[in-house]
Amino acid sequence: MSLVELLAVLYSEYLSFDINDPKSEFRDRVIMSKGQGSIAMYAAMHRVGIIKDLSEIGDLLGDGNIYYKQTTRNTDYGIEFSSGSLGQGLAYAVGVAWALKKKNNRASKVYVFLGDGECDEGSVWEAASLAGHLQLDNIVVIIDRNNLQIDGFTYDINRMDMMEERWSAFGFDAVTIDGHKIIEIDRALSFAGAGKPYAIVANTVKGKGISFAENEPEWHQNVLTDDLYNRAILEIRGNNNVAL
Amino acid sequence: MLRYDEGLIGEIHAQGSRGIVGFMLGKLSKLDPRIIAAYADVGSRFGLIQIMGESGLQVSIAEQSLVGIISGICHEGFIPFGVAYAPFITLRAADQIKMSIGEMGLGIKLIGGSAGLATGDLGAASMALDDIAMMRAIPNIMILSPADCFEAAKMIEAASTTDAPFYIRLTGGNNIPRIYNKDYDYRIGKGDVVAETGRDVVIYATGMQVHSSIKAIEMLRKDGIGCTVVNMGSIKPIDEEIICSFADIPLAVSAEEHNVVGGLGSAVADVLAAHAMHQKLVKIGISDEYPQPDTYDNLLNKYGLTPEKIYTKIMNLLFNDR
Repeated sequence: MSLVELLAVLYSEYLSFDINDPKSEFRDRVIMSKGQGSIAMYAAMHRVGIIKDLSEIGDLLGDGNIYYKQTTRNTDYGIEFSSGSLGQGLAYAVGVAWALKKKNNRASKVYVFLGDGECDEGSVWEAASLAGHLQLDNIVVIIDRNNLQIDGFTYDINRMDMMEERWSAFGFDAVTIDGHKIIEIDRALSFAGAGKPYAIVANTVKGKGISFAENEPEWHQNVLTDDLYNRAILEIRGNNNVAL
Repeated sequence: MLRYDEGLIGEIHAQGSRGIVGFMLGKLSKLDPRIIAAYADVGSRFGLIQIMGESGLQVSIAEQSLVGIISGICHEGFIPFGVAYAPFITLRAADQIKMSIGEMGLGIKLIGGSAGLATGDLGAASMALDDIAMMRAIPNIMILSPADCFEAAKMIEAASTTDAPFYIRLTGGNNIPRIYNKDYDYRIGKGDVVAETGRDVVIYATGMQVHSSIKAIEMLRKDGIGCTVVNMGSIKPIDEEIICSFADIPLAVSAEEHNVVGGLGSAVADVLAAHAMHQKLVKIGISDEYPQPDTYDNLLNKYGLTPEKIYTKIMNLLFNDR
């Protein structure tokens, strides 16, 4: 839930992606490095028609599916890479961004979603350092700063304070926004710098919009009962005054 | 396709186990601009920096990122090779390899230099003695281990012309003895009989141990022991056919600069077991320990990987049953 608005704005307003030509050279590439954000990404993919019917998503298990709890690479559907092993997505992005420049493709951007807990992984910073060094200004990193990971609050586990400054120090243009405010997301995504990769630190709330799940570590991964599902839908509908 | 005339083969043999990488990738990238070489602060050692030009990418001392980055480059339609020292491009980047090659099946090519005992003077950290074992357990990958510079050249060329993922493991130092002197039809996945004096013993060897084994059977021949040396340049896929065809020989020996656990010997044993072949197999290699730092020669001697030691081992097996 912490990623929903970010994905919604990206997919509906910014992402260059032709659902009839999913392998187009000039598409934007989305890399869901934080694998647990995959299901939120499917919702956004559904909204823009990449997933035409929710039934395509199935039960996220077993042979022959396209959609799983953590993305499994399928370039027919704009799923550029598999995820699940945290800390790998930014290195893919560096390779893709470098290759795009080598092909003189100046149109495509590479969007990478990282978790703030994921930033504990050293490999994130290995790749970040190189993205800055190589001045890969076609990379946009979005850090889902929801302050929670499996064992609790990030500031108890590995503080990672000065998140924006960390990315700046690695050679990025960096900005911090409220990751649930559409206008701030829109403004952040419309930025087009040159000569540096770009990092958006999005302050978010895990379980946003659902009172019983908001900021609750146990809802890092949990299953909704029918009752809780109905409650959640009512709350989201009420808060946003929208039809779901 | 490169034309391998006598002059080129001579040049290839003069490159050594690291120089051959830049020499070949430089030539191949001129023929196919999709070929890229990314390297982890080893560009000078492998002769890559000048020769690759715009087709080269320095990724710094970051082997995990190296694998991820070439996966991204491969995703965009290039044919990327990742070059680093063998211990670091394998175990250090194991999880990246698992995802990129095992899970996604991306056709990246990994080249690990100084595998085995050649950098033994630097200690266990710098020796890849476990890389085959780790890589064998990852699906999709082809594991190749050339016997000399010319076979290395053939393997690099073969890898550059297929979509499959590869790990090419380079043993030895700067002076590599010649096994292949003339152009030949190289085929991935095939073992190759490189010396044959009889069928008392078959030796499955890989990397620099092919040469040691050929030397050993010359000594055995003087004692009337007939042997066959098979160069197992491909460890995965393993040539089941050739192993089965020599399974009636009373004694099989494997020789490799790798732990006896999980390496070539284990791959041969898997085949023998799967086909219910009752052949005695003795594995010569590193005896499930990490060596203390020592010279290449001393380490080869310590682990029984010199021609003399292989000779003695086989004589003892034949006549003293030990």
